[in-house]
Amino acid sequence: MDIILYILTCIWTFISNPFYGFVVFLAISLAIATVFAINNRTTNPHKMTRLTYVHLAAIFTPILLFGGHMNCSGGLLACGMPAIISQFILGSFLATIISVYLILPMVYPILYRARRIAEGRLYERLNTLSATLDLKTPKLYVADCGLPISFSVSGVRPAVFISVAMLELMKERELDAIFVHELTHIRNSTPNLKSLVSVARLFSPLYMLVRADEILQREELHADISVLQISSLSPYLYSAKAKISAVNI
Amino acid sequence: MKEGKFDKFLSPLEDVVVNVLFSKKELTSREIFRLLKKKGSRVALTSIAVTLDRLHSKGLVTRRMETCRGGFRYVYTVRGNKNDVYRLILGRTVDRLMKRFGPIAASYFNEKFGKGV
Repeated sequence: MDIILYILTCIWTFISNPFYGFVVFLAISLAIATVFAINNRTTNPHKMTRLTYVHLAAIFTPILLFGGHMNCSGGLLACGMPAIISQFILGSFLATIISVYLILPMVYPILYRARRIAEGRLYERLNTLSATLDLKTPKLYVADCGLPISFSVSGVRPAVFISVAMLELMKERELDAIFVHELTHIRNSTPNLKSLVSVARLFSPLYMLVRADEILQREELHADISVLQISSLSPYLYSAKAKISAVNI
Repeated sequence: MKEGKFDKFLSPLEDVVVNVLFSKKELTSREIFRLLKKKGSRVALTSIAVTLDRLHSKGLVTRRMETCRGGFRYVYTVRGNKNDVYRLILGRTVDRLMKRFGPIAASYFNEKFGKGV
């Protein structure tokens, strides 16, 4: 109880300072403004990613200032509880970001017992379709999974994952449709955005107001539209989706 | 005990697929689909693939990945012979009963079969 009172007193002292109080007010206002901006229906995924970064910066700036305000120069153990808490929150955030963006893409191949494919007919198809979408060919992995799944990873190590079951069930042109769908996600950095949304929801209560699920659902439609824009592939998108839906029933 | 009858313990399609695998040793999902289609079945390839995956997660079939024209495919084999399949099904059923009824199930088996469980 004493510790909680102490922390609340520290927070009150911090906010009572005119400069820090103003910064906190600005930060919260900016965080709320980004929520409104993200919920704007014209927001594209890249814009949403940038706005989410701004939102998180706005949320963390007061925390960073609060930790620094405690004159924590004597190392972590020498600091008071408020500084320790703020450093813990910031440290957790950095660890989460590093895990999601750097470690998780390296973990997926292990998680799915996936084999990297860098040559052959399948890789050539992906190469051709990437060139059609004006994209550098991402890495291709075949996941050891008996259900038809596919997903992509964007960012530093873009990759497309497709399961053995998907290769068994789909015709060549249906696979092309799936590749175009996943390549569109990579082009729009949608996988990064999904990870960022999960992180933002973890660290910012205000981010709960963002209609992120609606926006991500729209991204799925955009990926389908990409396939439909290639007229030779449009019937195969529907047949591929019908096969996948049959599994999910 | 009726030979090759697993339908009381597996779904109808699982039962059909297991029996097809017993007859041919190892098959891909597409080969099973073609065999069943020849016999007049209207089951979809997707259903067979999902069923095989379910049998694999139950430990009744094994699979290995092999390269093919389309990239990769699974080749499925039933694990062991029919007695082995019965043992697996029996083991799973008993485990489920033990989990559900705990000491009551143990006590029942002890009374019925007179051995420590």
